[in-house]
Amino acid sequence: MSNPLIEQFIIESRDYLQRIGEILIVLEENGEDKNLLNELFRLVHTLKGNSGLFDFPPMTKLLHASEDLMNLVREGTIPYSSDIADLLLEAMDIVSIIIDEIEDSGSLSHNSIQLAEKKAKEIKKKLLKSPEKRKQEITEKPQKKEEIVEQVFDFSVISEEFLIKAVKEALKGKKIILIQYGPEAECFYKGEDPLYLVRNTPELIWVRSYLREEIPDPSLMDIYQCITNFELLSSANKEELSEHFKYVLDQVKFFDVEPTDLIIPEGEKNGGPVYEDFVSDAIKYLEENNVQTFKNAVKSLIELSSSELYFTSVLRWIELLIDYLPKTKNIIEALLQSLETMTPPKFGLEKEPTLPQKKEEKPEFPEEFLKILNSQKIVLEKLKTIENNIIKTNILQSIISSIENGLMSLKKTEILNEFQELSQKTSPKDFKLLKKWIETKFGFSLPSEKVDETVSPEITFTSTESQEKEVSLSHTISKVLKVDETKIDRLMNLIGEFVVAKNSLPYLAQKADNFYGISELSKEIKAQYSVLNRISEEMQDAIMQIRMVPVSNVFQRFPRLVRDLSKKLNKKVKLIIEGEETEADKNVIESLSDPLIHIIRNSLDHGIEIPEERISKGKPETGTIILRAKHEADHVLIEVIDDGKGIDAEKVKIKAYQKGLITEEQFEKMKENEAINLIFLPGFSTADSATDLSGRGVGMDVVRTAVEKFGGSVRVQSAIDKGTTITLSLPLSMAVSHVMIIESASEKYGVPMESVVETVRVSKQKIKKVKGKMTTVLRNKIVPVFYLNDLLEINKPHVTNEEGEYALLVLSVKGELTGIVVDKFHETADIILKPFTGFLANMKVFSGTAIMGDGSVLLIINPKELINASRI
Amino acid sequence: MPVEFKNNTAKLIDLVSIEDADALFNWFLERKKPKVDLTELCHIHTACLQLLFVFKPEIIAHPEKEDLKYWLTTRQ
Repeated sequence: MSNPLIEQFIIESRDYLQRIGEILIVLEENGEDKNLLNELFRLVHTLKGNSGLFDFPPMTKLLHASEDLMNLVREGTIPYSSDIADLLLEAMDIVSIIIDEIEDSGSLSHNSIQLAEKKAKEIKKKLLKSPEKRKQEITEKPQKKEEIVEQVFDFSVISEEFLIKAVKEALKGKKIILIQYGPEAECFYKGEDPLYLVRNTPELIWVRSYLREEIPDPSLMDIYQCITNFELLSSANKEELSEHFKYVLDQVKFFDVEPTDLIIPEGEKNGGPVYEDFVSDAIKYLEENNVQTFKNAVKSLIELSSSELYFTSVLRWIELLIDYLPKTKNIIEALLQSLETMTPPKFGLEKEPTLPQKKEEKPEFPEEFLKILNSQKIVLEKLKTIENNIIKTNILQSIISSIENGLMSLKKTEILNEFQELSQKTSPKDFKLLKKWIETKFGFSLPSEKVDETVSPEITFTSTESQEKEVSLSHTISKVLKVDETKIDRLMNLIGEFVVAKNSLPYLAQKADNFYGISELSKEIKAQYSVLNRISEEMQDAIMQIRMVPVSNVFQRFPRLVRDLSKKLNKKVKLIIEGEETEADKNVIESLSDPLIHIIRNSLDHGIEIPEERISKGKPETGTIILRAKHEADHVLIEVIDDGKGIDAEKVKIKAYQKGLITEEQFEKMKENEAINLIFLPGFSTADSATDLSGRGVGMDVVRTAVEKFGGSVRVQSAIDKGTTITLSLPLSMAVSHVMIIESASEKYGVPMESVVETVRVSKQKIKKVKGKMTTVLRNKIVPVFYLNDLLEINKPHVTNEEGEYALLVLSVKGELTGIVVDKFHETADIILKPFTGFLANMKVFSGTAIMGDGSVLLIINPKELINASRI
Repeated sequence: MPVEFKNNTAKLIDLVSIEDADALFNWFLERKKPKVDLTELCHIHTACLQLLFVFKPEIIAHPEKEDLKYWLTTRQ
């Protein structure tokens, strides 16, 4: 795969899929969380958008369908249910398969294309089921908004040119919609350009943009925070607009606008001739329905009058409206009336006062005061939720006094008197009046926060707070650098080589001293070496840190696994994850994945009982599986604890005996704890899971093999009817190994330090043959002895020292002591283990090689396999 | 470069993206009486648009693009 764009796409897609999966599962418990629904929608949308960059239409199609479904859920048209979760999770699984295929081959297989198409159809079917509800929703909304449109927007800011344009559209039968768009502050980080979006609004008539907050000191502003709001008029229909703004629907509000809201004559009211004659003539023409004459009269008057006059402006409106007579008759009449009175036209009683009043009242209250008022109003709203009356009274009093103070400082005595009268009537039980008073008195002229509030009334105060949190979270995430793993591996290899190169310096120093006889140079080289050594150690440490990833990378898939499996098995299971932030080397974390799936599957399948059984045992109906990670020394411990039926040691023992895995003697002697560990025996895993063996048994040897491959161990503890705990212990990092160097038949080998117990010298005579096997007694213990040369099939006898003693390396293999006879012991060393590849990969006696400072290659022995080799 | 800085005048050309916001911001900070020439401007990212709102430079030439011209004159 050479296309860096695709590489990036794959990395990102996996992140998105992961987060989508998490949210889908969390939503099952908390389907109402609007923030999560929004995040989910955006993630799917981004993923879809990204996939569109490449030629993978089935993927885009499937994501598109999923996105539409999520949109319906987000809008509340259909409720989030477990069915929808299933559908979406399955869809995301297919996307995940597609991503894997793209990574492997760069193209999609026929199979996955079919899968994607099928799932997309299925989702679309689901979508079709809810059109009625959807329509209802769409028609319901505008009615609610209509009542407040005049309070949130002053149409007189729009110049006549655009008002005329809008009214023209409305007269043609189109609906005019006012859109208020307050992009979220962090939108730039999401690659959004609100202006671009707005500029491309369908059938855009008018638009304005303004800063929603004051910037007192421009030098301190955060230029990547969006502080611009947009207001626009469009004649497109609601669905088209919803579609256009669908990714920011939570930041957009639509209001239906009546044409009469827009007919606002403007201009100089004084000056010019008196037009009373014209008005009476015009009314006459209207009555007689003499349209053409009326029109001509209007036209000629417009030409004669100065365009700046209020009168001319009214005429221009009339000119427009004449063409749409008779339905515009009332409006024209109102306009004519306004010419007589020189006051704004009154198109209907209820609409009459709002617009002009707004303009006049605005400057009466400074912004600060309105802000205070707004916050007091929010507190008032929250007061409903408080039950304690004393607290309520106190809060109410403080609200009243702060508003009073504000009014006093503004010297608004009239309003102050009014307010004081009202506040006397207010009690903790009845403060609606006060709220209403604030709303009617100041509601329309509150600054931008107020607008925001009305713009999205569904979002409560607390949820906007959490939205901010979420935003800041995504902000920090964006600062994380994503690097392809292979690049880190390369760095790792390079530092490995550097360590090797550095290790050659002591040899050089030795050579300088011994061979060339320059001891001073030797000293200097050694001094340099210590510097390089320190740096390389730090570098190594830093790179190790990069490779550290939290176990959550593996844990995150389990909520889904548990959810799906428990559904399938008709069991109720709660999964608790603890310590998911625990970090370990990436390879270690990855190695955990398969064993953990086995263990959790077993816990669910064989451990946790069905609800009825649990109730009859007096346990809670819902079983619990705890997945816990923690650090212990240089190991990471993963525990899987369930409160299921536990492992019946007796049954395990019988089963193992029947299978011939243990002898009769072992059967008799075996303790309970040992018996439980029998589940790890390779033969045991093939046990027919359909039998009624109560306990685990499927694939546990797979678990042990996988864990041991990475130098870890597994432990089981279990109590019948109480539950089972399985503990995996894995090294934190596998990159650097500490080995002991030994020599045998003039060859050097490395043995991992963790298996070395001690090094002793044993005289030839002390090694005795017992039943054909070599043994020796070490501190009153019989230890089996092997000759390394035999194990490695080297046809040479081992050498002894001058006293006729063998060098015996005592190892602990699978918890038992074993002696290995070697020729010589050397120093220990930190090495970077390179596993065998290709044909040599099957040579299990060695776990790999390491390059030493002098350039020689060291074979690293795998003690377990070495001893196994002796048995064959 | 979509932004050409000459003395006290910044000429915005074609598409001014968010990448240019930083340079524009710093330039505004350094100028006492900044001027902008928008004749050849086709689109301006919101981040840069709001810089114009904040620093209120003198617009010596409006964009040729009709709708964009309107953007820069209808702000409050």
